Amino acid sequence: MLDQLRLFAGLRPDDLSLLERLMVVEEHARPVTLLRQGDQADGGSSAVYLLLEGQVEVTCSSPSGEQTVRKVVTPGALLGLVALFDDGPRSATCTTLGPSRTARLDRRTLKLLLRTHRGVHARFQLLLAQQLASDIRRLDERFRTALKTGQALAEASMG
Amino acid sequence: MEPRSLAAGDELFTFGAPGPGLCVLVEGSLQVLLEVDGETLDLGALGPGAVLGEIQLVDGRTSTATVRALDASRVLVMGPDTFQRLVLSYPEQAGPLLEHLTATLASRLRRTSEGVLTEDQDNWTLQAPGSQRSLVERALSWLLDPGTT
Repeated sequence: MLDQLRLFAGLRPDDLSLLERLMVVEEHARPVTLLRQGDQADGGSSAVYLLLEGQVEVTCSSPSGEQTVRKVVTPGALLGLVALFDDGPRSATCTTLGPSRTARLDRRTLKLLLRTHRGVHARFQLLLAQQLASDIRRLDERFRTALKTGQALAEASMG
Repeated sequence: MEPRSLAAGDELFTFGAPGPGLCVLVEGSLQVLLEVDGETLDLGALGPGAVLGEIQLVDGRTSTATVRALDASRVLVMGPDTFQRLVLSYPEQAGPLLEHLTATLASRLRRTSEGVLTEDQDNWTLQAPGSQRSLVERALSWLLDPGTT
């Protein structure tokens, strides 16, 4: 299962096998909310989800309550990383679109895994760090684009 | 980590170019510059104890900002290749560094995604587009932090 995902390339076969045993695969016939913005990571939704099949819509609500779609992710995406590691509330809502299949790894299981298998711990955290770095670079590009737009608007308004 | 000395004006990171990786500023001061569309925004100075380059350490890609020595400075540097070898060969020793990295990156991602940008369909806009000052203040709030480059 996991060995087909680029995200886990480089992990040893026995580590992959261990991860597969700890993950709970869930089938979703209809749209279901996996994670909800604002929920505490150590509450009922304390898990990381790996999307195996289907699509998941990631949405955020603005301070005014308006929902916006941040992105739609495809198989291989890991969801719920940020809150899992910084103990803050969920930063986005993740909802499956249509039929999908996910693998769930709950917080306690993950922490136990990380305590008992230092090799897995290091590899898994490196994967998480790389995904976070990729997300930050994507936002950095958008920040630059928004800054350019803001400058253009400011120049236009000044005539 | 390897020590490296910088003279005033030397660039530690250059926007768009490969950089050294993780750097800890031991002595001196560094200036952080954000380059956008040919314009350069001065995001201020960092002092001893500042840590930079977490993103580059884990993905080995190019620098997202320019960082220049304001005066004679000393830094400790760890490159991406050394980091990969550390993680794969000595996972016990790499543990604390990895925990610091994931916590720092997660925190920065949260602030960036929640505090700076809003998305309206396909268009991203700054939450406070009123003035250049507010743009810079918001940029400062998340860029002048561990993980700048």
